[in-house]
Amino acid sequence: MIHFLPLTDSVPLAHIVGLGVAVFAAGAFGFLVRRNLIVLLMCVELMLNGANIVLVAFSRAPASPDPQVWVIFMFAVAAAEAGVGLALAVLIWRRLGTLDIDALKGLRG
Amino acid sequence: MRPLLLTAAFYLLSGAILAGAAGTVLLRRPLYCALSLLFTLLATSALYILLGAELAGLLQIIVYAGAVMALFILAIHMTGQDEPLKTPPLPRLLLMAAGAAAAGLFGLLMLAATRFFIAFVKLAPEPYSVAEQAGLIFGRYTPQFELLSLLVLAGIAGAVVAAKKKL
Amino acid sequence: MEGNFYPLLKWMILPPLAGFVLNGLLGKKFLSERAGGILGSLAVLLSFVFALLSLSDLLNLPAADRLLRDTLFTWISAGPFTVDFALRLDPLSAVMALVVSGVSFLIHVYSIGYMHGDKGFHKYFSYLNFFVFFMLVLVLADNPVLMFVGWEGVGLASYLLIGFWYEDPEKASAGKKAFITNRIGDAGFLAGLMLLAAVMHAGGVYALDFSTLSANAQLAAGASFAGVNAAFLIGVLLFVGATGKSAQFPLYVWLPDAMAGPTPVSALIHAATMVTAGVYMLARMFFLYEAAPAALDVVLVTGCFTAFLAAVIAVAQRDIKKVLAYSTVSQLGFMFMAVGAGAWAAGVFHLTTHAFFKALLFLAAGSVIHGLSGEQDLFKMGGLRKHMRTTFILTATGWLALSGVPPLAGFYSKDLILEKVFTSGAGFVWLTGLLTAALTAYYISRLLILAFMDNYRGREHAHESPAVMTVPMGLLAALSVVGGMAGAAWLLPFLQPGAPPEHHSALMIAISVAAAAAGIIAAFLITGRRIGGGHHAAWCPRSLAAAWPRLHRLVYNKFYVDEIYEALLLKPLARFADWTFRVPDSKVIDGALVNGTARLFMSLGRTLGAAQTGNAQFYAIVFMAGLCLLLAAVLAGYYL
Repeated sequence: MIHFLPLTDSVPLAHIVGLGVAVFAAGAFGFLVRRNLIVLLMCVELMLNGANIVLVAFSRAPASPDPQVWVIFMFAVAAAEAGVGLALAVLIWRRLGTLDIDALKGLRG
Repeated sequence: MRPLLLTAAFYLLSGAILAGAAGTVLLRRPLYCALSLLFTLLATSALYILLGAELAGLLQIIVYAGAVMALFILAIHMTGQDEPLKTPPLPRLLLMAAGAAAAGLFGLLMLAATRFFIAFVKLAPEPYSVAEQAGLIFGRYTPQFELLSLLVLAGIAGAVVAAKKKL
Repeated sequence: MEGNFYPLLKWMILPPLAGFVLNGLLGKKFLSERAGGILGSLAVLLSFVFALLSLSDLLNLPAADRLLRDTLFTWISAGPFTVDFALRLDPLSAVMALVVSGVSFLIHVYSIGYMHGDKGFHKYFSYLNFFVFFMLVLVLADNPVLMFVGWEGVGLASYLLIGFWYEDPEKASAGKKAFITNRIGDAGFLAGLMLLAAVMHAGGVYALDFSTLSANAQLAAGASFAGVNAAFLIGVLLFVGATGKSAQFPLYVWLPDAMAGPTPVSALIHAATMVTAGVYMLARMFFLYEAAPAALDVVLVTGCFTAFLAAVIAVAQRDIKKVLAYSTVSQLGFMFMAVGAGAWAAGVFHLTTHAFFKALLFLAAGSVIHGLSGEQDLFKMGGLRKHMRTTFILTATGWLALSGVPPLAGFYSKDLILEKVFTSGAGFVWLTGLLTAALTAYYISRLLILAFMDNYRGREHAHESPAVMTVPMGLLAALSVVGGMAGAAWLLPFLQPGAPPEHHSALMIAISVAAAAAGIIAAFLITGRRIGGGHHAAWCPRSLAAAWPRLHRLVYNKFYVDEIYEALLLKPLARFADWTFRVPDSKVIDGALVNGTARLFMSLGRTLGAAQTGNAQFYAIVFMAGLCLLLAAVLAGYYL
């Protein structure tokens, strides 16, 4: 079984990018499907994470430190967004008593 | 031996990340989803280090897996959402549409990225020095950095205001 | 331009304008009846005085150069084309101005008595002054465009005055009929005017005042439009306008209905002045008709036919005012016959004498109606020569004048017309004219007999009219007596200086007088016998009506012309209007276009609004789907 794995210390860029995009797609799917508000926010974090993976991959090939720096910025953004989003979720829980996304229909029509 | 190990490590970590992502999306109890996400983030952090992005990897643990997940779990317990919601099963149309959207995104993004697929990424290379990255943050990307601080400030202010019982 | 800047001219038209404004705005509130009436009458008297003064200045000029002009302001200025508000006094307009202002003044005074107690008293005098203003603008205008302004203005005044008692829908409807029928004629007038302007402009002539037009008349004669000679076409089109205004066939139908207005209005507008505007216009534009004799033939035949037709209808009418109305139509026909035969001066002469005796007859009819508290049916009158002596004498004067009995005015003018028609060679027309003259004498004698002779058949108490009404009538009666002799001696040479003096054939005169006598005698025999023949109690039309009942019914119903118009024109038009309302207006414009657009946007909004579910995940799916499409598009552009 071992000889199926390549004997190099590098992997095709495609695989890493594929991984990142797969995580992103999983997060997207989850965002569309789940009902709980907090789980939705978690799926958003998943998507961000997927994007980060792709960025790190591209930091290596072609070699450039810039994408990695953007990843660091992404951390900050994600943290801020998660903070505010969760604060809102708590508020919604306090007001509506539920975290079902379908209960948030104020913009209907 | 070492290359083999590294490559195996890479694919194992990939599997772990994907499993964790699936878990986040599919598990019923929100707490389990959070734990699954935590697992995913940690595995991702390891991946970053494997790929030589050590600063990013460590910061991932501190910020993402540490602070953000703590927030999530705190929020889950504050809203008493430990139990899964009592909801009727999802309509098939929604599932199919969501699946199609996700698959479509996946396919198209991969297609877009094919230009670069002749390249190979080296595992466990020399990482970029922190000094070099700091130089970029505080040099080329100074405006973005400042904006980021504003963003964080806005987040703090918003969270504090939201948390108050009475304004 | 010779004779320009004679400032007195504008003072002829300004007093009535002032009277219109003052009586109109202030009359009801601030002026008593007496004051309002005097104000209106005084305004017209001032016009008359200024007309006399202008006439005397005109007479001081040598006979060939009698022209006074005044330009008040430039009205239209479009490149080389200009139209000025310019007034013109030459013998023709002087005569017209005097007749208009003089007869108007008498009728204003009469109205003070007739309209006493009416709640629209001041409005009435305001409208009358309004009319006099525009009529004077019409006759004093120096170009046909300004004349048309006056033309339209008197049309409006006529509508306002016919429908004066507008609360009665029949009377209001009569006003509408007059205005609309006039409008049809005006369409012809305007078409002719535009064609004239076009012909003139094509020849490089841009000023449209009458002196210039008359000097360049051959431009119209030389040009042609759609294969027809331009001068002929213009002449006929302008005559169509005259047909409307002067109540000739086929546009005469409004005049009998116009009797719904107050009787002094009938006297002034529909006998003496407004209806004569058509004759004046033809006389004024005669230089054009000289260049197109075929147009004059049209005028001649139309006038002759109308005169005869109207006289026949008048024979069978019961309403005293209707008899006089058809008589007016008939006499206007005589005037057009004169113009058609080339003798426009004779037409104007008859216009003048007709103004005198027809106004007199109308005012007398008004006196009778006033004295009988509103009765207008001849068959309910009778014996009034005993109860209303003064009115009887005055009516008799008018009767003799209209019949053409010498030496009263009507004889001179009517005989002159018949002579001119005969000498121009239209024998058949002359014969018809003679027969019409006989019929004229017949119907007016019939009126006299039915109203004044024998015994009173009605129920009201008949009383004579006050002096404020009888004195103006008296003056008109005096003019009816002497006007003919004076006119024959002075008017004709004044209008046409340099024309050869008239030779009158004694035979012609004898024939005319014989026709008149025949009419009168026949009336006394037929109508008189009916009265004297013993059947007083059961009053019904015998003899003529009994002898030819179907013919009588036909004539009595005015040959059903109104009914024919109604069936041929009005009903289809009304149906078409109704259809246009139901289908194009309601269904297409309202339904499909207006409401349809609204419905379209409402449904569009509803459809698009269905996308706003308020559900975040739905929005997210749409978002991602859109993203996929975008990516696909970019990639397709890149790879294909």
